[in-house]
Amino acid sequence: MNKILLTLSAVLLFLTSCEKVVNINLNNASPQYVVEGVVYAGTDTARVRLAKTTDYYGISPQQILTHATVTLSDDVGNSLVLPYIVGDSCYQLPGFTAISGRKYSIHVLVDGLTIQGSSTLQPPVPIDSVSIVYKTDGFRGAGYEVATNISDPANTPNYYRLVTTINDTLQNQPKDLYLFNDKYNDGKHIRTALKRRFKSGDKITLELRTMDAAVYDFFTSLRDALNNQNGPAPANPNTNLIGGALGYFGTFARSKVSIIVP
Amino acid sequence: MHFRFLLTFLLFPLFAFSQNHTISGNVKDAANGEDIIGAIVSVKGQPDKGAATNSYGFYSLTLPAGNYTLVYQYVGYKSKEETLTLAANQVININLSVSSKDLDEVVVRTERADKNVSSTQMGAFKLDPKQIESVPVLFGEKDIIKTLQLTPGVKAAGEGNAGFYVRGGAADQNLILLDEAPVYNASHMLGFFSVFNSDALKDVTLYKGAIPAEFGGRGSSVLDVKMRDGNSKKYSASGGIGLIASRLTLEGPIVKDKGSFIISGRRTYADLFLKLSNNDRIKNSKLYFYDLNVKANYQLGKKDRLFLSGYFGRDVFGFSNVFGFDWGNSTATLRWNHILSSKIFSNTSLIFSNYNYRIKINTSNQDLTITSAIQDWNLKQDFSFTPNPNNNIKFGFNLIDHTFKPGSIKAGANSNFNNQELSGRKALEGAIYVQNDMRITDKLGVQYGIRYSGFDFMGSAIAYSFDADGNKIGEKQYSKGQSITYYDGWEPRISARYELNNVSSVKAAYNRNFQYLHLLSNSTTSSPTDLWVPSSNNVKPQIVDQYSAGYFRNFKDNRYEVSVEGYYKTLQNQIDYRNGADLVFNELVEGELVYGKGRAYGVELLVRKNIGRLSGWVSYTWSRSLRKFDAINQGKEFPARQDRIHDIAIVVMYDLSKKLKISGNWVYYTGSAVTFPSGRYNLNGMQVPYFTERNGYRMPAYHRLDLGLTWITKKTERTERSWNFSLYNAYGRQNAYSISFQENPDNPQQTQAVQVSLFTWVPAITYNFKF
Repeated sequence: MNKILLTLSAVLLFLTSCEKVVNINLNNASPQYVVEGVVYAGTDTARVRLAKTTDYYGISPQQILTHATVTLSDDVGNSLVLPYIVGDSCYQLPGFTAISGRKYSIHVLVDGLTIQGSSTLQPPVPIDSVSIVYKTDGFRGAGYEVATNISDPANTPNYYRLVTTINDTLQNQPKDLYLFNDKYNDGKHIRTALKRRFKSGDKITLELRTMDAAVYDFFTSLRDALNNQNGPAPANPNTNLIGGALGYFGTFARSKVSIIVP
Repeated sequence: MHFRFLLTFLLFPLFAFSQNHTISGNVKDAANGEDIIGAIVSVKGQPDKGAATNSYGFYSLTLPAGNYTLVYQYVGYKSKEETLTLAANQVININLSVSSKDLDEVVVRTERADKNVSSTQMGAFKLDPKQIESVPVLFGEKDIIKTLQLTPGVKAAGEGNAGFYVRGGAADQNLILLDEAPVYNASHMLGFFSVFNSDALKDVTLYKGAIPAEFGGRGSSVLDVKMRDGNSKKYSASGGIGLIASRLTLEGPIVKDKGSFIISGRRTYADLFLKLSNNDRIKNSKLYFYDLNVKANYQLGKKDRLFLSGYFGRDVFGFSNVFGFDWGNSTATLRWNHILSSKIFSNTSLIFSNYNYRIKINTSNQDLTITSAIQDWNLKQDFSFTPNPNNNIKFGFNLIDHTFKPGSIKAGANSNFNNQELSGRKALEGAIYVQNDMRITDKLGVQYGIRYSGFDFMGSAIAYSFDADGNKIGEKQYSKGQSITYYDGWEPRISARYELNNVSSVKAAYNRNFQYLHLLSNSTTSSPTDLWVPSSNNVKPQIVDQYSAGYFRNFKDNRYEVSVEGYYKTLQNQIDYRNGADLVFNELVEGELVYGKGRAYGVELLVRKNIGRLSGWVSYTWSRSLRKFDAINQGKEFPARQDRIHDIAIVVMYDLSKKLKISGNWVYYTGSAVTFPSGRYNLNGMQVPYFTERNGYRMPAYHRLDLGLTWITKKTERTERSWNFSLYNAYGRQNAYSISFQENPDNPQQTQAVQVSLFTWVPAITYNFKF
């Protein structure tokens, strides 16, 4: 009798929730400019995408704006115009060399509106090692746990994002936004475990990106907007752009490690 | 000077009458010796003369010399008459017996049949914990807060949640007192249960408006919960076994009729069935909470009585040995009642309250403990002075020492975390008050008072200053005891009643409340890690002004009570958060806050039937609650989350026979105001929602029916056995708990809305006993 009661309680507590797709009527906001500008350390392609927002349920691909003037400059007086490249649907400049410590800025002139943003390129932080441990405990059941280990540079605030590619597929769902900083462990070893288990033969590329505080703030607030819509006040991510656009302009230093789970 | 004039004015009635004698004493329950709060003492043939017992069962009635017959009466008790010749001051202690509950007999369920109409107090709802026993609730765990949520002007914080909003105010604007001690986190298990174990409670009153001057410190309401004193006649035990939790209460005399004790405990056993699991990790997990209420009192002489009461509750969550999280409140109250004279009653309380949480992580890679706490020491002195039957004056003061320890991280040898501690905060809060409940004529009564409160935010602490964007621009270290910022203010409270005739009255009130402590919460429901912060150089005290008016009428010989109340409230220095605010372990958390104002207004309708086989109430509230912040929504006014325009609750209890009672309640309310996207864009390969306005949308309307059945299998003088069955959400409505917007997993180019519902058809069964 007791056992039945208890089992019943368990069922009541844990299985009473249910999830379903519902139809919620939403207003259609007037379209807003969206900028996504990315510059990587070293020599790489600098890219700026310019688009407009669409209706939330709209199925059409978003409208890419091709008629803007996009300029990329640094804080030592260099300035370059990024041409629009049709095939990639963005303004880009191949072979752009970005130097650590410099502050880069973009200037977008579109329909008479000026959008500006800047970001300081941070030094890269290497991935010291990747630990692969077979686990049976923890919240995620049995399998290999993969974690990166880094040595955080002491006495400077550092902001990180870990981007993963698993079996040649870039992981870019909201749950894949691994963001962390050294608020609690400045100058210490930081271990970041991926929130899933792996099996033998899985091929994993781990890319650690460092960025400045404003870009990190954008990404953490983006994560909130995507994953925590039921918080007290869902809001648009905190952009580092000036001029009334959504999105961000970020400079990133990268270090990369690829492994195959043994 | 100003204050002295005021005091003289307020105390003037003291000197107005002098050639009289005073009858005073205590009114107790004849069966168990419990003090009866709010028992009415009236003079036969002189309906304008009378008194009511205070929180300790004490009354005082001053009359000219002469012959009188006094009538003592209370809720469901047999009235008692006492005839006397009054020539000198006299002490009369009275024991009232419970009336035998024959179905035909009229059972009065409020202190005085016409109290609805005749009392000056408005905006208050009094609940007898015994009365709610048959109201069906989630998991069958009877809960005073969930029952109060069914009354006008009170809204639940969410599905099955014990958090509540009063008249458009925020959840932190409710002063929740358990035997005078503030309870900082009044819920268990992420809000699904309140910390109040009904078995240990005697009296529950919620003040929504016209808040008496003796209370202060929160903006919107006071929930005044009093624990039982315990049976002073004989030992007894009672309890219940339910699906989720079991309860046991032991009580008895310390010395018969001189002192008594009560110990009441409750523990959930959600984790016991984890033991049934084959998985070792789940088997070793913990998930439970407990409450322990203890109280003892002792009569030292004819004039002195001591009370010691305490509450200890804790939630414990543990996953295997790697993760532990526990949190809870402890409160203790030491009280001394002293009868200074037959007209002056004094109560002195020393109150302790603590809330803390602790998170422990201990894995192969990590070893650390995070703790946070808020602690109060509070000295409170209250006097009540009854110079004559037309005036009841209360005055007193209190002084609270607040200590805030917002957070510390202690890292073990094995950890890569640095030991860290957020700066502690210290504050002193004080108040003095005086109020008079005055009967001016037979028809006109006024309760007027004033409270002066002050708050000293002091060192040792670092005070930070911030620019308009919340970036730190300066800091200053203050030494121990050094004042950083001092706030103070006058809080006038006044309410008036005018009786139109025997069955109807109109009432109006105004009150101003200061609130010096603020709760920062990064979830919509209550969370153990919500952070209380003091007013400081950055955070100003919240100030709430409320104007209310109402019409009260009883029908059919006081069988039906009807009231209509309207209110308008303004709220100053309200707090909200910057977009993406980081409230967790943030030394500069004040930089994440933005300030604005608000207003709330509404009309509440209540029809209540307290007498007879069929009892219950119908409640309807029409209300709005709006906020305005420069930094939010482009400075435009927006609805607060709790802005639910229509709110209906129907509660029905029906005695089928002496042994069988059925009950039901139905609720309907407009969905909460929420923020939904009005567009989207693609970023980093992800579909990002585009939000245009704060709280511009509504959740779907909420409605639910609950049913209950109580079957008394045995009932004698001493013992009672009963079964309680309940069905929560009887027609299985899938109410939206949350709605999220996300990429369609089958088509990444499309997006969709996903609704999560909790609790459809939750049956529960509880067995209760008493011997």
